[in-house]
Parts: sequence; C-alpha cells; structure tokens
Amino acid sequence: MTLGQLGGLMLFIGLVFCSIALIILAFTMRLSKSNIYGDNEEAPPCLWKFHVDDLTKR
Amino acid sequence: MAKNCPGCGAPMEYDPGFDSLVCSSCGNIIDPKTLPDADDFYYGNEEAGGEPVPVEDTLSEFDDLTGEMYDCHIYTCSQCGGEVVVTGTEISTRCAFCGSTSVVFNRISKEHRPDLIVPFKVTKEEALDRVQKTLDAGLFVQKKFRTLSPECVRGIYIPYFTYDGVVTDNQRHQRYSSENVTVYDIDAEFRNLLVESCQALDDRSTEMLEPYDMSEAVDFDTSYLMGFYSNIQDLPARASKGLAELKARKFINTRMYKMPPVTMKKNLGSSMQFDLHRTAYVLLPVWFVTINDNGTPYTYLVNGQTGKVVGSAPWNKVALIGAIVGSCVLSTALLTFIYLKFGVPFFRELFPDDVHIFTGATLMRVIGGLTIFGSFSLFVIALRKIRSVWQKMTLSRSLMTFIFSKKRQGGIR
Repeated sequence: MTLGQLGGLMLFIGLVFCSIALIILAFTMRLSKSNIYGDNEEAPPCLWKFHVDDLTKR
Repeated sequence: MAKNCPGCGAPMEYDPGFDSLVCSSCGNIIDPKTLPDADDFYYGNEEAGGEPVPVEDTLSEFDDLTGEMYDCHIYTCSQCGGEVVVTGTEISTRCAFCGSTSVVFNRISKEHRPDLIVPFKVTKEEALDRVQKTLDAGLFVQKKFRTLSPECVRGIYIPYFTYDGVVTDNQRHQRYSSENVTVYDIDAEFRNLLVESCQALDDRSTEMLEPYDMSEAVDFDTSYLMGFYSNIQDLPARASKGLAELKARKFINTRMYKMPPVTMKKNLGSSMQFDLHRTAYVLLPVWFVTINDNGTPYTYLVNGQTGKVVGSAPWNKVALIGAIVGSCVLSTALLTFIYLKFGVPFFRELFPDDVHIFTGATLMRVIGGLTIFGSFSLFVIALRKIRSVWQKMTLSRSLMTFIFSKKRQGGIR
C-alpha cells in the first residue's frame, strides 16, 4: 500500500467514525425533542423591562 | 374547609370547566363567591382526628403579607415526607409527589391564608389527554406508558411567592479572540417573579411549568380548593428571597449570553444589586399524573392554567440501542462497499507509487487525518448532548428525591 492509498484508507475510516457519531447525535437530538417536555425557550414574562447600555461605546 | 350544596347538603367540588362549584350528588352549580367561607368546617372534626395542633409561630416570615390564617387538613407521605392539604371531599390513597401508597393523616393545622389563587382551567380529562398525547409522540416509549389510568391524576395547588423589583448589574465581557473588554450597564425590572415555596418539590420541574398568566389570578377563596389538594408553603422567608435572586440572576445571565456575539466570549465579572420585594402569596394549579413502572413512579406535571406538560418519557433501551447499532452497521457496510468497490481502485490509480510523496499523497493523508479528528470532535459533542439529555430524562423520577435535591440547590441556607 502506498502512502497515498493509506491516506485514502484514513479518509474512509474517518468517514465511518463521522457517520457513527452523526447517527448517535441524531438519535439523541430526536430523543431530546420528543421525550423531554417543558423546556422553556422563550423569554420569561416576569422580566418586565430589560435595558442594556454598552458603556464602551460612549 | 369543605362547602356543602345548599340544595342537598352533599360536598361540592370546584369544576374548572364551569368555573363554579358543582354538586356531585344533585348537579347543582353555584358561583364560589356566593357561598360563605367555611374555614372552620373541619376544625375539631372527629373524623379528622381530634384536637387541633398548636400553630407554629411563623408570623415573622409573613410580616409583609396579610398574616391571616385558615384551617386545613394535612396528610403526610411516610415514604418521601411530602405534605399535602386535602379537602373534605377526597381522601388520598397515594402520594401525589412520589406515587407511594403510604400516605397518612397527620394533623389539622392553621396555615397562612394565600392572597391570590389562579383557579384550574384545565380539567382532569384534558390534563390526562395532554400527557397521553405527548407520551404517544415520544420515541421508543414503552407500551405500558401508552395507556394512562385516570386514577393516577391529582390536582394540586402549589404555593408560590411573587416578587417585584429592580436588579442592576455591571458586566465585563471579553471575546476569546480579542484583548478588548466590553462593559455593559444592565437595568432589569421584574414583575410577578415566581418563587415556588414548597420544599416538597423539585425546582427544575416547577420552573419548567412556567409561565403562568398572573392577570388571571383572583382573590383567594377556599371554594377553589374543593376537589383538589393544596400544598402548604414551608420555605423560610430568607431562603425564598435567595431563590428569587438566584432566578433573577439566571434570567439576566441567559439574556446576556444570547446577546451578539453569542459564542467565543467570557464573562469577566459582574456586580448584581438586587432590590426585590415579596408582593403576594399565591396558589398556582398543577395536575400531577403518576405512572407506576414496576415500583418506580414516574410523575408528569401539567400546568393547570395553560396545559403545558413537564416530564420525560422513559425509552425502551433495547429498542433504542438496537436502532442505533443497526443504523451504524448499515452505514458502515454501505461505506465499506463504496470504498472497496470504487475507493480502492480510484486511490490505486491516483497513487500508484510514492514518487509524489510530498504532493498528492501527503494531501490525502492530511485530509484523512482531519476527517478522523473531525469525527472524534463529533463524538465529544454527541457525548455531551447524551449527558444533558440523560439528566433531563430522570426528571420524572427525581421527584422521589425532591427534599434531597432542593436542599442542594442553594435555596436553603
């Protein structure tokens, strides 16, 4: 096997690992979305006013 | 604490569908405000178990509230220590928090009268239906969770304190790629910041139940408790204020974290000044739906006002691992086939010898190495995500250890 062919083999191994990692990640994301209920994404209504002043721009 | 039907004398229950008290015997429907408050109904009742227990002197905790008291009927779970106030119309056979059957009558007690109450809008059937629908939509949910029993549903009013006030802060942010420091002056005003004031519940779950529409809160009336449980508040005032500050800090930091640039920055320091004041003691409605899985109770919470479901559906581990392993084997087989069929001849033709070792061959090995490195980075991201999901998946079971977790969340000092 030449060094160039070895590089091709490394690319193949990397792609296999990538696909496995992506499959695990996809299943985990899907589980998070469908099996966990109640995550608060929106801003809380109790935060009535919120003002931020960038002092470094003054 | 019960109200009886003026027509037939049977106990009445509050029906969220009618927004009225309904008699289960004759079907009489009455506006709660038209009946006199009957706080003394159970005081010294024989069935309830004899003499009332002296009231603990905790008025100092309530100096800024009304200080009014009302009588209630307290049941304690010997399994988890949870305490619930039960109305005269329903006696618990199962702890609403941990699902244990070891619930015993404890005492009659005088408790601080809440200022406000948000009545149940979601009925028991609707709550059950919502939990059922969310479980049905879950991935690899076990069959036993597909059919819920109506007996496992309890409506409970959870005690909260509301806080109003202003929080000011001065934060210094720095991007990792820059030496420049940005200074922010923050001014946040809070209204009706809710702090759950019952140690018998896990803060993570109750925070996820929010938001509640506090404009629908009405003056407290025991009529709204009929047919429901209500939990007693047992959080010391100082701890309650500490939790309010902790929550306000979390909201502000989350908001600041989302400000551009959202990545590659760090907070060098902040100096928050809190001016939060407790404004009311309020009861908020929550449905507890408990499912027993071979002795392990899973509890789902449903916001009694909006119907929002909080919890996690346990997955079938064998099916999930099978699906992941199957997908990995399939993708590996497909990639191997492509590599052997097309890749090997292609690379043989492209790199027949090592003559051009510092050109194409080196480039190929660099690309291959980077791909392997990238795949390991993906593995790290996947593992982090799994850890985060795993923690949330135990949410429905964590109510069993609520006192343990509460005491370790910084609320009690």
